[in-house]
Amino acid sequence: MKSRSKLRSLLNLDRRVIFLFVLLALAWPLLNKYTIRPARMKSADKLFKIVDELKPEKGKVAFVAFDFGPNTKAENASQAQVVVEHLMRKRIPIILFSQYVLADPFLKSIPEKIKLSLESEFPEEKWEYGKDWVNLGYRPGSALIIQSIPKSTNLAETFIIDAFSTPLKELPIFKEKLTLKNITLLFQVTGLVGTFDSYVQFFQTKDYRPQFSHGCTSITIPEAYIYLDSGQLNGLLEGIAGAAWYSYRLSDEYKAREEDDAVLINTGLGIAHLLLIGLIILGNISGLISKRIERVAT
Amino acid sequence: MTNQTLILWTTIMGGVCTLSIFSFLIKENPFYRVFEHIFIGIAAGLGAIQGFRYFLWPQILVPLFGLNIVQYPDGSFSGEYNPYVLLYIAPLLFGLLYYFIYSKKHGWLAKLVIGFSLGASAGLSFKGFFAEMLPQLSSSFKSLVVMANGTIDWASSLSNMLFVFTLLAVMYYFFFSIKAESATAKKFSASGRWLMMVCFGSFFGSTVMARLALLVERLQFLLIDWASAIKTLFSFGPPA
Amino acid sequence: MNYRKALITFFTFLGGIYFFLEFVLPEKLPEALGGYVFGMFHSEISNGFIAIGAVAFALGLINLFYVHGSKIIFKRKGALNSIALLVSLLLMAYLTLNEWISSEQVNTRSADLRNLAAFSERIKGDAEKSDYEGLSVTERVVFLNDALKIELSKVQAVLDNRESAMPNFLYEDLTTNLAVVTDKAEKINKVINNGSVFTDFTILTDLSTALNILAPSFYKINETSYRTSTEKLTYDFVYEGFFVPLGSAMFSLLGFYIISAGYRAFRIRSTESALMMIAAVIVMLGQIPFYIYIWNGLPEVRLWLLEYPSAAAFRAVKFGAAIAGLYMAVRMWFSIESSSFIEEGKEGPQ
Repeated sequence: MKSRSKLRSLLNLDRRVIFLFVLLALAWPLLNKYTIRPARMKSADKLFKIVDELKPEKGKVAFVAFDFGPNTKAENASQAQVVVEHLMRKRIPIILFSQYVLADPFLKSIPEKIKLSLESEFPEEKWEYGKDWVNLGYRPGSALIIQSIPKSTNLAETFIIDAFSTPLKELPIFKEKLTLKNITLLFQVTGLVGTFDSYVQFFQTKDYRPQFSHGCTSITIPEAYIYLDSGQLNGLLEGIAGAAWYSYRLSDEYKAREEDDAVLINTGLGIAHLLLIGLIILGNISGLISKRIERVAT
Repeated sequence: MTNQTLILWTTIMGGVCTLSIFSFLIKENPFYRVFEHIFIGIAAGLGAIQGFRYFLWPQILVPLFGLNIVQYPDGSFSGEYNPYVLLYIAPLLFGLLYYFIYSKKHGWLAKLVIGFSLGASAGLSFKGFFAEMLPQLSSSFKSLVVMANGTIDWASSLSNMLFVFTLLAVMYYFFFSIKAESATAKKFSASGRWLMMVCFGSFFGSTVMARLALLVERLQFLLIDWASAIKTLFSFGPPA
Repeated sequence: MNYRKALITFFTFLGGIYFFLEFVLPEKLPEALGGYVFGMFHSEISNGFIAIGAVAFALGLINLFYVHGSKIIFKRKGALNSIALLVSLLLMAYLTLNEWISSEQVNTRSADLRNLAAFSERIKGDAEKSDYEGLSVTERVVFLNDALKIELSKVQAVLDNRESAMPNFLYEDLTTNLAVVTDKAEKINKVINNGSVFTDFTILTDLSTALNILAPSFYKINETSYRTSTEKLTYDFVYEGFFVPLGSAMFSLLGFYIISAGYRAFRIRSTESALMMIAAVIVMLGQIPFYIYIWNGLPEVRLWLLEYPSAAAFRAVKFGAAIAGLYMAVRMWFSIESSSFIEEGKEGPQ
């Protein structure tokens, strides 16, 4: 009787007790800044190789789309940061863009943060807006704006101004006439449904498609794999784990690099996963035992 | 107000907002409701202006009103007004029909523009479908016998066989119009269902990471950044 | 009212015809049909389509004001929350508008310098045209000179009122670039003061180049100053202090509930749920750093699971969904599926 009631109370544990347990379990690694080497992600390695092999060439740019907002910034902002940092280290000019209105502040803050970090690492070098990156800002229209890019004979005339209302023709990146064929790499980061599909469907012409890499929230990882398999995606950052592995690779390549939060968050995440698996196993065992006790009792 | 002070108060308010939302975990309360409404209000206010700022103004209204043409000091102009820009008035007026949705008598006018938008997305879907699905279809035809260095690569061959089998089994499971009559067909359909469970399991495992990542990031903010800001505010420790 | 149904059907069809034709027709039509390049105005047409939707930006706002405004006016339950919503909406709209106007002003200041550079090039370009009929080069240069004096005085004013918080290198850059432009301006001034005819077009080209270098450095100073302006700081405070944490926190609540649901509800009762659980556990363990304490092969197994059975199953689902989507799109385009949408019913806000 006693064991049955104890088991029942264990099975029907107040969720607030579980929440507290979660909080305590996650507080320890975060407060102690405990980090551990992230799990290797082959898809992130593919993307790393693609960016690493890019060479700064006249008229060649990378097109980076930040289609995420504060709700998925934990994963997407980390992904955006590591790839933009790598591109900036390689001196590949970047065109930043978004289909999502709430991404606007990230388009401004992320490259600025990376610029400051790189200039403190390399005091004799400078990264300049207009030359190393241009922010086109938020552009409404979803699929309509994406499908107009391959048809454009001059991207400066299609977009006209940047996020700061500066005419694009006055910016060094746009001094050459740029079309889709000048884009060597498309990297899209998103947590939204539908935005990724519009790039897969429309960001290409009959005879040219840039290398396409994607940073997704973990929810859509299984979906992204079908595109990796078909060759429509060339590289993938799988949620925060992908960003953490990419960050680890960058730190391994550039020893003086300042650490970011991706690895710390990834470690805390690992503990949360173990907690969940433990609780699922405990819940199932308790359920099984409870059933057995009921059967014996009846 | 200095930059440091602003950063301090921004962090403190961020923590207050986070805790107000987390208070829902204890129970529904007015504190949570107020901040939830503030969030919606801010998102709506931001969205309303940004859409106008980044598209309607620079792409449509500026060329329409000739604001992109500069008058030089001698009275001449940087360019000529392009009369074809006036054609943009048509979609602008057409788009205004959306607002008739609020009228009981003329609400049907809004259906014109809604139907037009639906038609546009339908028109786009043809290209989108073929551009997205044809590579998917072609990559589904995998080699069932993979050779490596003159011998059969059993791991890849078996994996490819499983891939093709899974694809066909799951598609067969969804063909509701074809009833599984024979025992073999039923088993084939059942295996499709099981393999789909593997897919759902991987989705669940991935979803868990997505949700927990957001949680860990917020806890990191509260326990490190916000705690440091509170310490600074009450001067219990070193500055943030 | 049959004409309404016909009109709605017609406009629905019209909406899709351009993109359908753009997909099926060749890029350039045969010469026999005029050799027309179908996508010639694609950008403009796409902008037109986007504009139709963009104009409706106030729809959501009207709805919000209607719903929450009526709660406030009739003092219904939740009126305080509605006040919070509308106040934050208006405040954020005001701040965003203010931030936009301020950033436009920053841009305008340097745009004036760029416009003078373009004017300088225009004078030279027009002088080289045989059919130019207008003011003489000298008269135009006089106008250029007067405008230059005004713009350069604005730049000098910024240098004279240095802000201590601003980095010195910005002012140094501006001083250097201003000196180059001033040198060109003085040469032009000299010619005008002499009363001679202006013939030295290289000065105009040099002036244009110098102004195009001065403009970005002037922009940088104004932009850096703007970043510490009240408008920008207030906007950043509301966005970073309220919006970002609220948005992140809302979605992070799910993390707690997933763990709670995993413990209380996730029970293995059948083969299917067991399969699902095994796959989920492999994926979860393979993506965390602690796999090294369990089995080194976990990431490889996870990768295999995602690349083969999971990808195949999802692709099958995707095929079905894509075909169904295309089918529905065709039905929608021809208004076959739209009977409830087209028919008369209750209209207006509910």
